[in-house]
Amino acid sequence: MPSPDNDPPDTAGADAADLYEQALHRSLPTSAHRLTRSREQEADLALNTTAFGRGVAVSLCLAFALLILAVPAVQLLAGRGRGPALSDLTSPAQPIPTPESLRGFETALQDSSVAGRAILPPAQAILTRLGVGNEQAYVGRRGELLYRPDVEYTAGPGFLDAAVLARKREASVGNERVPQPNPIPAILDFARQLRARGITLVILPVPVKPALEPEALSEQRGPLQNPSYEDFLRRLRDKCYVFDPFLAMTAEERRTGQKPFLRTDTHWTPPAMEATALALAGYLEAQRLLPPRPRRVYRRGEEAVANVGDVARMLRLPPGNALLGTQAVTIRPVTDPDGATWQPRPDADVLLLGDSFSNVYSSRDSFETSGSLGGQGWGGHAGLAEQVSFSLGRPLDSIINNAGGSHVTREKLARQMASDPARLSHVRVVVWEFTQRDLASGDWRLIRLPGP
Amino acid sequence: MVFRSYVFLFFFLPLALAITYALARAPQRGRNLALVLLGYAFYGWANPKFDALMLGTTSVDWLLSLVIAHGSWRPCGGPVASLAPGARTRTQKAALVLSLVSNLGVLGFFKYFNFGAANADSLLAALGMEGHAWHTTLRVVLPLGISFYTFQSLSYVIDVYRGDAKAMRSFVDFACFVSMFPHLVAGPILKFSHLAGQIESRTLTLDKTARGAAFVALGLSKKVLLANGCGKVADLAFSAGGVGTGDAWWGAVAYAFQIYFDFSGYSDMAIGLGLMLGFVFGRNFDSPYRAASLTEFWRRWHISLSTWLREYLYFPLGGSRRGAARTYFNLLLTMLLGGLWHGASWNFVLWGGLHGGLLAWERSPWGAALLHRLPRRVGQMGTFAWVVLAWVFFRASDLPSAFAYLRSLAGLGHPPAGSALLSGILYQPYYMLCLALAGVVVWACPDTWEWTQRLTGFKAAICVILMAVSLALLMTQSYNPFIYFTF
Repeated sequence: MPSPDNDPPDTAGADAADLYEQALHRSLPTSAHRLTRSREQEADLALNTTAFGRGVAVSLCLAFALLILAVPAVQLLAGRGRGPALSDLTSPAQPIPTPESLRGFETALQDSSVAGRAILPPAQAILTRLGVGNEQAYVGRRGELLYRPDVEYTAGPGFLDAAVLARKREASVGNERVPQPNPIPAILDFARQLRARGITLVILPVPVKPALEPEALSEQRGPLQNPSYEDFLRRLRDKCYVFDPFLAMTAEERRTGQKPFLRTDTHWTPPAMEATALALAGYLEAQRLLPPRPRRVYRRGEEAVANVGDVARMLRLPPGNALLGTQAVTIRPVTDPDGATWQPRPDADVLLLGDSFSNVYSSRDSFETSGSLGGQGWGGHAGLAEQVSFSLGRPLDSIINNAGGSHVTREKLARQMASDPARLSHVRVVVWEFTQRDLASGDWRLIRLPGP
Repeated sequence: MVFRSYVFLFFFLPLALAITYALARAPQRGRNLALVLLGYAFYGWANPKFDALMLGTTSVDWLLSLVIAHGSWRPCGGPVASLAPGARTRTQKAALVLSLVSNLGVLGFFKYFNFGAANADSLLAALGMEGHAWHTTLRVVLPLGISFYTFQSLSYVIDVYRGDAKAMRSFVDFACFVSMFPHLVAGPILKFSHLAGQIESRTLTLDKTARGAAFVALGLSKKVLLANGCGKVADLAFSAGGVGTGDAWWGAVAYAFQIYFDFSGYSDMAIGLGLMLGFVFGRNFDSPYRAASLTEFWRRWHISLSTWLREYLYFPLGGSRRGAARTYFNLLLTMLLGGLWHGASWNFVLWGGLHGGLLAWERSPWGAALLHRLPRRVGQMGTFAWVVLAWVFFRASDLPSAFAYLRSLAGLGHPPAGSALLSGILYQPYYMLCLALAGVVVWACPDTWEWTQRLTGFKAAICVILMAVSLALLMTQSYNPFIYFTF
């Protein structure tokens, strides 16, 4: 077989196609031979008879090298001391790296990249101008942003569909804990455990933005809902109290003309939340779930807050980008009858388990310092617990966690009960608030409450 | 590790190239050893245990190839020669069978255990024998790229047995053939006879390095700029609870583009990396969506796999030499098994069956006559439509989802109200641009091989710009492996 490496063709000024053809003819003198030429022989001939000048070849190689060396070079010069160390891959207990340690290392390496941090915002800004979000956010119409899991919940398959549930269980194989994708057993089990303690469970599944504001994304008018939601409500009827805030939120929108969700945030606006709180209070009273007691007269003030939405932050846009513009809202912080800032009361007969929808106007602490308990910059003391307390005229207790509404707050309650067996001694009603998207993506593990 | 990951592009690749060029004048065995170590580091990055599996199968095949070459269970240290044509001894046959059992056994266990167990349990339940079902909680994790390197290793042993190749005396050299990182996790499936000479002697030249850089740049661009955008559209359409007819076709065509650019982009990168390491790999894609028949499509799509299936499955079954009926059967069986190779799911079997069925029909007198009469454009449109429909089985998560999607394509679906949300995303300017560009590249542009045959300064600049833009875009995306990575 001819070896072009030993006899390189004179490429100066030659057309590559001509060279290739010449090489073909030289190597296989007859057409019969050419017909039996393998693709590997074709590859040899094609790749060994590339025609380009030395200058072009050198420039291309240098540019390539520059592109792949620039990032580590910048990291070495400007990012020294940041990022993971190779020693992070192993430990005395694990001398051989594990897939988890390798993934963690890779993620830390990328997150600490100086060049990456410099390039990401302008690159994302260009994509956003073209209407593209990222793995967490969709860019809607007229500057609206939507959280991707919310869209997937609304437009996706039914979360109670048997095939969907089976796929989710299969997808969790290999994880230490197998998530429980079906919400109904967890809700009914929790209700049963509370009922055994003389406590009534009321679940409060908060709708997501694309369901009530589909016009933020398309020509479609709302409301929309996941195909399994009606089935979900039907299966819980007669077994559990369900308060769906949909009517309260849409009624408030008609009354005020204000949309129920923030423009670039996943959460509801203060009026939508307050309307929900008022309607929930009315529901609890109408269902006679609480013993009568004298009403406490809480007060509400007004406070203007301007903030950037959480979905906008997820895009990691450069400062000054239009989507990072603040939205102004008015919150109404609640104070006790004696003028003190509202606080949850452990002797209250209503306990709220809530996620970030409960917390968004409640905590002034920053997310950076308080993590899953922290606020998101939308002010404080005006959250769902405060508003329900105001509307009911009675104190409230609360267990809040910004994420994992499907199981984290129940786990927190169980831990508190383990250290304080009398934790629920005053409670008559537990309101469990979670986001409807958790119905499709949450881990609805069964959690056993300690004690009898 | 994947080619488009941060750690590969900016850390592993520069290190690998630096080592390769630093050892340019070192003895060939040393250079091959360095490649082996790089390959195992690359492969083990996903899970170090995978390295042990690959080392095991490599060792078994290397030893068995020497047994075949020497015709003895105690292969001596003497030189190895290609076997002459003729009958083989029992020892040689036994060694071949052992290699087949070991490779296919490993592949079968890791890839098909879960599938087999689930189907066995379903069958028992259907027969009313649920009490005998296994209901195992054991779930086997699929090692990356196992389908590729086991097929490659198998082809080596078979070629040694047939006398088409000389067994490798050196374990390091053989391990280099199996584990070199450019082709390791997603092909191309390399023919040993083509690579053997290069493992023993190869050169690093400026032309190869530059052409390789062009291939890598274009391959990365195909993945990041075209495949990913088309993939977002496809993901939305296929994961929705139901879609309208127009959205369904949009999503299906998007997937056809995604899988083509994803896989051909990866192949381009593999070929480019090979060139930069001094290797010349065969072509793996040749503008498949321009094919005017499915037969032609399979000469242009994943050429290394179709070649492997033809040489090691279709021809041993008899090919087309045993009459029409047997030819159709051989085609169908080859494609059914080819489908199963892609994944342990009835979706892939059905996909293979659709292709095998049409291939058989094209071979028939009626099919051949029709193809002969059809204008080429009509043939191209028909072939593309058939391929798009078959891709639905490839992409859908299970058979019911695939059939539901096909009903949507036919206008017989019942999309829920929520699916109307998707139009706000599916037709955003960026995705429209992606699909339009994808179509232009697929049907109107020369492919990577032709385009880089003559590299002008302008083309080199285009390569650099595309690569720079792709690298910038990569910063905005999280983990997003190549599709064929999972086979």
